[in-house]
Amino acid sequence: MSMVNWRFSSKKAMEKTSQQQEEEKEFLAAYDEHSSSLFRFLTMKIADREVARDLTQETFTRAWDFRQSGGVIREWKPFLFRTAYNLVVDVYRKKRAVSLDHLVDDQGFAVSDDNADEKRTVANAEMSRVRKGIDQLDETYRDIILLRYTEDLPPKEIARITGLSENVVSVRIHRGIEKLKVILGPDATKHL
Amino acid sequence: MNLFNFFKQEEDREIAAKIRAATKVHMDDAARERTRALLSEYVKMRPVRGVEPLPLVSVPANQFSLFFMRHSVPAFAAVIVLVGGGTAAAAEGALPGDILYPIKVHVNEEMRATLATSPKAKADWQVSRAERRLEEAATLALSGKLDDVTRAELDTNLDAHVKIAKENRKQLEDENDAADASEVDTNIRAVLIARENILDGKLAAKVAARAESAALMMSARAVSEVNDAKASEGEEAESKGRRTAAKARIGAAKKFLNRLPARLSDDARVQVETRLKEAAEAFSSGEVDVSEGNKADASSHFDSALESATKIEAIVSVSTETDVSVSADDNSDGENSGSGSSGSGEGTTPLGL
Repeated sequence: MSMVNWRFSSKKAMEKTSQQQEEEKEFLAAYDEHSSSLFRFLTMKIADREVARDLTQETFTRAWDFRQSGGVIREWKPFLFRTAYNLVVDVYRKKRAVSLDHLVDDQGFAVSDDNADEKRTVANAEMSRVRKGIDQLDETYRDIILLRYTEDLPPKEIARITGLSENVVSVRIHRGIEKLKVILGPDATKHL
Repeated sequence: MNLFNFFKQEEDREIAAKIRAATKVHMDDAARERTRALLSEYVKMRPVRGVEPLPLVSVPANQFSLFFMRHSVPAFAAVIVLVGGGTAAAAEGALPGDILYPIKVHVNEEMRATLATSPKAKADWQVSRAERRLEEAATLALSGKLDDVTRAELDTNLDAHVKIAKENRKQLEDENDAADASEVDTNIRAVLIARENILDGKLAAKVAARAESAALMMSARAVSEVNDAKASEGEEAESKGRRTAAKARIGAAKKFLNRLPARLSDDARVQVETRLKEAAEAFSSGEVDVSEGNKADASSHFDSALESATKIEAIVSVSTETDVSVSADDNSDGENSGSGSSGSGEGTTPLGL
């Protein structure tokens, strides 16, 4: 091999290594940024901590497999949520056996330290009541309500994740909130 | 904005704040870091496209590769650190007898196994590993390299994967997770049915080369296998078994066409590609049926996919047998001195069917 060729192939190899490192860095940054919210969404959806952790891993593994096979991920958050959502729908079809409230009480889930103002103003008993109310919502509304209010995703992104139209998502958000208000009763907006 | 809307919006904001506050939960830091470390290793093992894999080198299965196979995981972990992720990626396409095959089985797959923590996820991965063994067997069969030793080795490995999956199923039963245990059980039985079709398919392949009814015969064998099981679950296992066998055979045919297209005549290649397209389309339709809950249609489509995919082996078998025999005839006539070929298949001019 001539010196010129050697230099060329060596430079090419270095570029590939550098590209790989960049990809890894971006992937792990996405994990750092979105793993908690994905885990939270999965936990809320299936009410099983162990399985939610597995599915969070599986979501990232699938995302990397997609990237590794040449796929392009422009926005990580909707992509990851869409992958997780499909994973639950396609692979993990089991119905929730445990209530959200039971999960929070018995499995040592801590309410996070952020939103301290909200935490101070909403009593523990009231939070328990809200969780029970969310539990009573039909899955059709519950997923969308959680994506909208717990994950703070706009209807447009929820539509991309669930495969519904933006209009249907907006209607379900509205109806879901109305149903929750009915479930929680006239005190729904007190104690704030 | 009228007063009613103002109050309504305020109300919605308040209830939204309650939902946020009531549902904020998080993964514990240790679990989060552990998962991060595993994913970090995983991405190193599977570099993005563009990093060229190392060439697959075949070596005699009884020497070098067996040495590596016996000094399994720690040695390969060291190897992977030394040679980098490109090797691990290249190993994914390796077959028994390739130098990288032990890395595929003992490093890549073991690494992937550590990513599964629940019994269900563990069982699913073991079933996937069993399916990979079947695809390897089908690929080797197409290349004419599935000898009795390799067949027995793959069969033993498949048994080991099934055994672990059964242990995981037992664990699910112990935890009273009947739904997952039942799903795992169906998947295990599906793999065993597919094994009947592929690993015990030596006789079936010969029959298929002579008659196109081979696929139907193998379906009948699969049916008789399932008859031992409970009827309703058996039907699902049967359909899944044919799906698994079709998937393995389709994957094998694709690999075969990529690796050894020169072994086929032009006519045979066209036939193989046609059958492969038919099989892939039927398989894809079956997947759509499954997602829509149409079990009967799915089963029918997987049957068609398996039938088309099984015919590929027959076409390849006839094509390569004809090729070898005619090459030998050419040599015995002494008219082929310029080619330098001794009937290896790759150096000869393949004949049509």
